[in-house]
Amino acid sequence: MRLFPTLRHLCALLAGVCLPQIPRPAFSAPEPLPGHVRAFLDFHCADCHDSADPKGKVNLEISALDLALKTDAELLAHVHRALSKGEMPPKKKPRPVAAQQAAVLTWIDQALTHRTPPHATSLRRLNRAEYAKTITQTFALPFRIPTGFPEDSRSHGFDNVAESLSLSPPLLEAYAETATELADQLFPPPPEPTPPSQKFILPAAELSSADGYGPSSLVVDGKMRLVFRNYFSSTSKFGAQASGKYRVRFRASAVHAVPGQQVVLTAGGKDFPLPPEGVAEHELTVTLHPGEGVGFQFKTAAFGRIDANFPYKEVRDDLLKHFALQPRHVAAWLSLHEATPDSPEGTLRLKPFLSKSYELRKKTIQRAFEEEFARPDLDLSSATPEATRHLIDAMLVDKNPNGVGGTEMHFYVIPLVWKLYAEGPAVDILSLEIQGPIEPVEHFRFARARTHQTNLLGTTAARLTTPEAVEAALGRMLGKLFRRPPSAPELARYRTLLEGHRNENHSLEEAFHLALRTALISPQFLYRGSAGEEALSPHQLASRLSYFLTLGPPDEKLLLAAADGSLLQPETLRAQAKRLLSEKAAQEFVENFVGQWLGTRTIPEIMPDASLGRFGADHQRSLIKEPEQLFAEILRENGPLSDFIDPGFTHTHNSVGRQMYGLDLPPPNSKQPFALTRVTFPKGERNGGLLGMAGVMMATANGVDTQPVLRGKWFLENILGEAPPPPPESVPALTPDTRGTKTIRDLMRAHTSEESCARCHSKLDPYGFVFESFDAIGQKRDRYPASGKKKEEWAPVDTSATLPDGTLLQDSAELKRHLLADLRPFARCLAEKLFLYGAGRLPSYAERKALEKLAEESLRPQRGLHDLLLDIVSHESFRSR
Amino acid sequence: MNSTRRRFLGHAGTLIALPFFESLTPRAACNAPAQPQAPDGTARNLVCVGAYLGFHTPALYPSATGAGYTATPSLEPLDELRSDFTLFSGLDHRAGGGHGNWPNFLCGKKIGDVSLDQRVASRLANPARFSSLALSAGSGAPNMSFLRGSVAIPAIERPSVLYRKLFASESDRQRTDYLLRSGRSSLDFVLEDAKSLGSALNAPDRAKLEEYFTSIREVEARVGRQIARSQDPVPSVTYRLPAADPVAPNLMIECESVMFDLMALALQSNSARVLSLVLPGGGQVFTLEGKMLKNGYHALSHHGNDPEKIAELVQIDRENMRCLASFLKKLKSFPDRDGKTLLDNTLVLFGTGMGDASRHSNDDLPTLLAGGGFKHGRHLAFSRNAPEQDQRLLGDLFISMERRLGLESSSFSNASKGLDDTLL
Repeated sequence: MRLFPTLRHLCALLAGVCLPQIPRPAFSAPEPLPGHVRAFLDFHCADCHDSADPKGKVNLEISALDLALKTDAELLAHVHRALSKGEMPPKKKPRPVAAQQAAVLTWIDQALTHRTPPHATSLRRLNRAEYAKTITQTFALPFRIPTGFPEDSRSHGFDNVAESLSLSPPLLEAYAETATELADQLFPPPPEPTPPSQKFILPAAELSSADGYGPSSLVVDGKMRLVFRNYFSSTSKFGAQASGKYRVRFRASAVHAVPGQQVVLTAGGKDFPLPPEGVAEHELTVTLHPGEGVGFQFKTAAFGRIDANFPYKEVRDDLLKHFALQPRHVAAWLSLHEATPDSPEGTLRLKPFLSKSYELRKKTIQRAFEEEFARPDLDLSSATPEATRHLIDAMLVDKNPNGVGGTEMHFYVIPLVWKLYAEGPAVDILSLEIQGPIEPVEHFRFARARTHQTNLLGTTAARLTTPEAVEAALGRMLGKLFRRPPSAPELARYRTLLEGHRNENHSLEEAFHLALRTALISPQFLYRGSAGEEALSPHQLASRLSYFLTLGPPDEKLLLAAADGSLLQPETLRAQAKRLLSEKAAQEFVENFVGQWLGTRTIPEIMPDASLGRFGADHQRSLIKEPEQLFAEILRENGPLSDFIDPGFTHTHNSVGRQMYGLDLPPPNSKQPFALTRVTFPKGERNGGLLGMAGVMMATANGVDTQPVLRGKWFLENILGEAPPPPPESVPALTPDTRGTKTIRDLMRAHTSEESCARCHSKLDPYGFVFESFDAIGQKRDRYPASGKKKEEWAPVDTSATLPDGTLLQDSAELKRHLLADLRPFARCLAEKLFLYGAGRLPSYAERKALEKLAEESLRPQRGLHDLLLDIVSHESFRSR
Repeated sequence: MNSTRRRFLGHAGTLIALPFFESLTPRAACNAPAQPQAPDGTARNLVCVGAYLGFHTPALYPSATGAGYTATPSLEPLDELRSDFTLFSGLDHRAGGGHGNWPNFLCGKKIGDVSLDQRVASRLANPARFSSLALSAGSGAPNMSFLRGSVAIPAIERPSVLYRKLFASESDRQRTDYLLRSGRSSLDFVLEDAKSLGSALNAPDRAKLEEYFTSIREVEARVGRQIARSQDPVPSVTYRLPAADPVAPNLMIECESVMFDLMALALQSNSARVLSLVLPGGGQVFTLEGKMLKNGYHALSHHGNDPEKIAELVQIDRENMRCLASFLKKLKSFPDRDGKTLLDNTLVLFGTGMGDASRHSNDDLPTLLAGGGFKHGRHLAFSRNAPEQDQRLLGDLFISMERRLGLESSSFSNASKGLDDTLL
């Protein structure tokens, strides 16, 4: 798209005036190295890094380089890094003369800055999340990636980097199938003729609920029995074949109705009173669409159904009411537990004989309950109101990762549910007869399709009566899908496609169906960015910014700024970025970026070992949310980057905060059992910041043991922004010694005793050792558990470590202090990660230098994360390909 | 997204909702297209069935090996077909345990390696209208079939969707044909679009566009094959589907039974030669023989040696075996070429990626192989404690199956010995 070439050049010129400009180098051919560089490399490097057998596969016996080649540029950057950090030449070799080394470094720096070609982001395919959000936003309809949709691969830790977002035939096929399904929703094929009316007689025993997971309705004594209030039980063996009205006749009866209470059954959306005794027969007419059955609901049931989305308060009240009248039930329960009314919530424990193992609990809990319930000498006085309340709260809060209604919950609910089904109060459906369709009804998909058409085309296809109107609608559709106005040739081609299809005797709806299907697999829709051009057009920039900060396509305001070209001005771009960051959609950026940067997105895949302690859905959620909320707060408040390291506050779930960080917090709010609380504490401690977060520690372990090497690698990559050395081939991973005779430090001693190991591990291991006081789920520990030994005999945790520069650290708090003393590496690392995520590629050497400058500026007083992010967005490197 | 999926049901027609299993009549029900000839001594078709929660092996494995075993409770429904199948114990992939490792059932040691069904489907010389179909008895299935690049094939969960795919009504066929043909023009269109994107591209951009071109061309070729095949006569069948798809987990066994019926029809009508079916398992509570079980399926699989739970679990296993037996009987009743039966020409693998769900162990995967003209009628027991030369892996069985289907096969994942010696 070249809409406003003149304006764009003008803006580029303006940009050059107000920002450090990255020079555009001329492409070069191999050229000889200057004499002083050649001599330096010969003298200091080429002995080991010779061309015959180059050490570390780095050959420095060279006389010429082609800076236009990526490999040559990378080689120079490598030399620059090793020299400037003092890693090379090795300690036992002669030291270079300082002035000579400085001259070589200057030459390399200049060569890399000015004479390497700029990096460019190649065509960037929408990843899964972006694709889903784009569909949802473009068509204003709910969309989820279908199962079996091929996964994206990641590079440099992120799933939105251009180079790794490849396209494969199965993926294209999935795109094409999705395109057809979407086109079907927007331009549905005409309905088939309504079939003749038929009568369906459904035997009562066949009327089981369509829901297999919870006991929501069951066939009892050959009848369909309902016991819950807020659950809609449908006929699983009847589905309407066509949209239409159906006549329904059913017979139902109340079972053990509560005396004095009117029993009401809802059928097909209408209420029917049932007498306390005897059978009632009712008839009604319902509108059904294909596949739909008739729903029944016991409207006046005492209980709501308990499932993952249960209304907490309602269920709690129900249970309290019910159990106030059931002291035997409560007492039987209590006798299975070690709970006392004053023990804190969430600590309800089964008696040891029941909780020996998960399997055993499953096996015996129900039977044990039944035995207790039947015991003549059961102590009913234990069922006090407080005990009842405590029991119910513990039962509702003490969730397993499946949530309430998961397996754990069923241990408690099953005895209750079974009693309800056996004894009522309940409602039985005895028989059901359905006749229809007695009158055709338009399927709701047609009304929906008209709404979707209006959203996409500006009007419904039926109203497009002139060629001009058709062209305008087509243009509007392509504009939405391409995230920019279509070019004249593009529009003309699509018009030809549309007209060609109409000339083959297809309707206008079918022609739009085809055009939409086509556009949805076109490169203009599937890819963003440009191919072969140097600069981004305003619309491409709008997409880059929008997908960066919202994961979705540009909104109207952003498209306007692109249309008039103003987006190319850094101030406008900055203002738009600021606006997007203040909106709700930016939360997706925070979640996506933080989860991938820190690796906390992988937490749900890790299976925590049960012996480490309680780990439920609240833990999992809190561990993922904590770093996100830290990032969100620093961003919102434009907080200093030092807050990532030592903020003096955290957001955590109350029971997680107590268990993981030893914070003094009240029990979680029972109305919002998953909410996180903002907690403050003195700075300078172990808690707080990225390096004190259980989620980070869990993501860098395997759920069972800690692996200091992995934590060290994580630290180098994501906090210092250094590439860790590649792992050696054919060296097996350590096998932890769970008997506790050797600690992980003993096992890792080989890393320092063998020189070949030590070269890399002296850089990696120390950053892992300081975090050894965090166990595999991030809990504080001071000893390594050893099976078969007393706690006093467990080996103590040693968190001391010596950094490569000789600094001795006692623990992670000291590492935090050490980092804070010079925050530049962290700031640079964060800036580079943000750039990588936003632009979809690694920065070039020159861009890296520019980012470094922005990062260092963000460390000045009063400046913070929000400034840094806006600086990056409005910097030339973000605006260029 | 499936708002139109039941349109065809009007054609399937039901007067009353039940019963629906009976109307499959052999041969007469079906005007099948000509079947490809296969060299003698080989099978034409492959069916792979995997049960997510496995089987309670103490009620499945006979204590004796070889031919003269006494039928166990779970084998009893299959006993009249004894000479048509072999039961294997002790085979596995030597891989990790847990539900997460289940999907390696057809892949070998590593999840995501091309699965047996797809290895076969991609190499069969005469693919049918559908080169392969991946099915599941209702919702909640794990992945079982994998293409190259660890791409999992989503399974068809609804009998109605499968039915429509196989035996589409005339109007459905017209629509499919229309979508295929217009879809091809849409592929041509975007290919032209991409070509015009730029000529002076750098290497990474060229590579991106090349990926796009390759994908478009490959999908185009696939569409072309489907269009060519769309001229094949669609078999007309009188099979009656249930009025609503039994996809709810508690109706899994009904769904399984319908899927087996449709698979038999697909094979008989030569619509597909490679089929896979997953039997999912979750917390659903089954009603068997008119009585509701006391526990959910998953809870039963963690029986903790509770005899009541084991009894219910075995009841479910027996239902699965009954479905299999009815399927095998059908295949056996369909005459195929050369005076053989369809079962003689079809390899039916019935197994699981879960060895013992109560321990989450994936060692010793109970496996049953029927048909295909192999020497059957025995219980073959293998052990990982046997001398090295006597040990066999599940992959060895897969090697022999591939060979039986006329394909060259020298290794499957970590297996390279095959089982020809015992099966031929």
